[in-house]
Amino acid sequence: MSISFETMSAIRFGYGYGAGPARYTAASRDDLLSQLEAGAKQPLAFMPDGVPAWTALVADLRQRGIDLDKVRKSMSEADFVAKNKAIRQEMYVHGRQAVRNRIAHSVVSPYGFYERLSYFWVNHFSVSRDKRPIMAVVVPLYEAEAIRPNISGQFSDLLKAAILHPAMVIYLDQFQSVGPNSKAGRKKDVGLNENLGRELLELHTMGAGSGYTQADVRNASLVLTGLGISKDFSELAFRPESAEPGQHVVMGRAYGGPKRKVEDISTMLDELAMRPETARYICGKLVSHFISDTPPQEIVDGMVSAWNSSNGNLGSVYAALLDHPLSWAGEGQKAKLPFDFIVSTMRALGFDEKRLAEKPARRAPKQAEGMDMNSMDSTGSMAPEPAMEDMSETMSGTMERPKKEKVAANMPYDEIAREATGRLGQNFWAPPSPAGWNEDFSTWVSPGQLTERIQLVRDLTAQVGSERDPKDFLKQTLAEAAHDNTITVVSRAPSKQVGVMLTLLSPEFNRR
Amino acid sequence: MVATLSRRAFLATGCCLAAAPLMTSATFAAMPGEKRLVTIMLRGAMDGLFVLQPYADPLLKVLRPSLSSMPGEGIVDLDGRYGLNAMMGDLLPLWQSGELAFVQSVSTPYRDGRSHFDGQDMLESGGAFVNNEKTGWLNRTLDSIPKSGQRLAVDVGRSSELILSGPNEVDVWSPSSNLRGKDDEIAAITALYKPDPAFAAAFSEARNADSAVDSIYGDERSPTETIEVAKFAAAMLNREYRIANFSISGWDTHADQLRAFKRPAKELVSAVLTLKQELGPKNWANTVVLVMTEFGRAVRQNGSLGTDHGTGGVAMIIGGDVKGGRVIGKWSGLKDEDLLDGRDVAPTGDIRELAAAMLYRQFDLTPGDLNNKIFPGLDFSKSSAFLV
Repeated sequence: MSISFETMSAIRFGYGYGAGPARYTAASRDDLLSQLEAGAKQPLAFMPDGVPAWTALVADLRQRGIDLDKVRKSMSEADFVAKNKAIRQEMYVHGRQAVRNRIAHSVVSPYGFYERLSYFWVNHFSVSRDKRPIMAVVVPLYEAEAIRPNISGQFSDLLKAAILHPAMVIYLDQFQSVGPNSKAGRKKDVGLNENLGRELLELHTMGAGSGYTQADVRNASLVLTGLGISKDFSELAFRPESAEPGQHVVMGRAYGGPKRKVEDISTMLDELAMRPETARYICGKLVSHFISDTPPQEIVDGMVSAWNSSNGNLGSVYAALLDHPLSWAGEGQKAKLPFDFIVSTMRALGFDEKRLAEKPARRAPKQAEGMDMNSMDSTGSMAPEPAMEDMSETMSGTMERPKKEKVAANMPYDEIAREATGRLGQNFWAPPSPAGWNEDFSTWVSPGQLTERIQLVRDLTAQVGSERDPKDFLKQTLAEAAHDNTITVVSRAPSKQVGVMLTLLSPEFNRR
Repeated sequence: MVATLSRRAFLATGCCLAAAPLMTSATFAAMPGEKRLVTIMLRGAMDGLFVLQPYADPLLKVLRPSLSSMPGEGIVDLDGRYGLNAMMGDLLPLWQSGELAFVQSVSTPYRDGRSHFDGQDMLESGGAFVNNEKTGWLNRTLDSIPKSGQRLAVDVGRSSELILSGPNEVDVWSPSSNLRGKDDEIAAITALYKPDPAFAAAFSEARNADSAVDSIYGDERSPTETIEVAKFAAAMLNREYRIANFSISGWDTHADQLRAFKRPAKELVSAVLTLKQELGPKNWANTVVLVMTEFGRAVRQNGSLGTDHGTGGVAMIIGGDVKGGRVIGKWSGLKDEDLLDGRDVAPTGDIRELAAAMLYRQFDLTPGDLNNKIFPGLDFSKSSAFLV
């Protein structure tokens, strides 16, 4: 059966169908493109009180660290370590909650195309919350204010927003890079750090092997000197005393002068954004992401000409992607990465905000070792009460004693999802390198990956799967993309749970 | 309605009773009674003809050359007519002591479809046809038990079960260990990936890999999880709970049944023996364990040494004071003209009537409630052949 526009757009440019509020069927290319505006307007679940409040949170946490440092000498080392750890802990707690909310945002958003693009760009301009503790709260802010608002405008604006954000400046050590001949460089034993300069050319704009040289990398790094962040890490700061004076030539263009300004950097970024290598690299990467590991050149060509005629307007580039007939053919060449697999699984199972925040009626297996009923009350939450010991006492004989270390609360579904992103190899906002996550098919269709997916889906369907009729679920989830074999195997499943499980494990659901 | 097992409720009753023995009798007096019911759902359709083999009928060997046996080989003689599959041989002492009865040729009113989903729905909802009832019959039962204001049923297992779902609050508890893939689940995933070489290769490697993956698909499958489930159910029944339900899956033995049957069979036997042991003589005497499956399997073995979906099947009644040691229900026979659609054991009894009989026996439910509220359209009476 041929696949309808709605189904193809859901599979290839979204997260597949959902049963609940996330169900959004795009009837046309314009429908899909209209998501760009609508998606950007949506309040962000991971910035519950808005961007300014989160910025203040970052500043506050950082400031408390600075204040603690100031009085360090007046306290014992143990006291300092404990207090310092408490601040760090707070950062992690906020950061972890943000990841849960970030996943939830994609699960419930009707604008799958916008969500997919947001992910693409966060991955393109990778930063990691693992870089240092404060990044646990800086990275969510980065996605919220640097990436999401800019993914449909000019590429140069997105590039500047990403590179000139504290998250990137911290992640690629830029704030520690000092021009050797700058005032600061002459005074102290510090020097140039090429990290950001290199990734800017290799990963963010022109792409590896596109013709730049080591001299370009070094000079770009020199142009970037002076780029730093405010003391509270909440905003960008330009420090002329660290900026390498003079003109530095990158790809034949000179930036800077005797007195260095932040505009030198933004001009360089603007011009790198407009390079033909950049257009080709980015367009190819978009096609690789959405269509195939070996992107059809025709689609890339169409996007590059849209790029050129719009001065790098990303909305026009996406439109060109959607306009090419090859973008609507040959589905199933890409492997769904774990994050998208988890999001689309939760969507398929019909999770909404309310349900995501709930705890399963039955505990997730990882937490359920031993007879740890004493960790639960009727709402399933932790209720440490003194009577606990009584119980383990009287339970012995008939049952094992509770294993203390396993007495974790049973998790709400959004935490199950967060935990799963890690187990499946995609700890969100913590990619393995500045290159982000590899998207190759063979990386993600592996024995270990399948094992984890089977376990996750088995656990989730054990909770909610038997509520669904597998045949309806299959129809709703895969529509006419379902292969005959899958339809047959699902219809013969030994139980409803297994039927729903098989749908989510099917090649069609795991490919796109 | 399903509520996570309440620790407070637990503390307020069973556990603290043990801690404060003086309160015991008073609290127990408030309980609706001493009778208990455990339902065990065998998901995937247990092959009744493989469990309870009418070995005296020479047709059995003709229909099932590889899946039938003689006493001393793969079965243990029960009564000169039937043999119990040796994989469940550890149940023999219960048969000998009259604590185990088999119920022959039963099924739900479900016909023709042979779909696990519909079959299990019918079995659990207790309806007369597919989608007749949206709630579980065991849940509806709670309405009709006197003084059932407090929770007294517990649903044990990893997935929510229709049989106990409905408006009445039921406690749920899930066992600890990671549920490993059953053979039928693994077979289904294998079939799912058959046309896709990349997924097929990855899955096959996952199954072959030792170390970490072995814990999921390893051959050393001990029934520890089922034992834990049964222990828990018994512990709850030893307190104020009177109804417990759990499932054992893995019965969908389309291929290599001699091997695939071993694990679920072992789990069922372990569950039953654990219940008896943990309940102790006094409570065991007040307990009925009703073992049911959604339907039986076809009488002829198939081309891959397994069996396909059928209709009539076998149920079991086990407990301290059941009148066991016998096969109840009218055996319909294996001759061509005796079979349903020329392929299945023809059902001679409605498994809902068996369930109704157990509810009547254990909880004094009126035939009116049983025939109207719990199993709509059923014709159960006090003279039911299933009342044992």
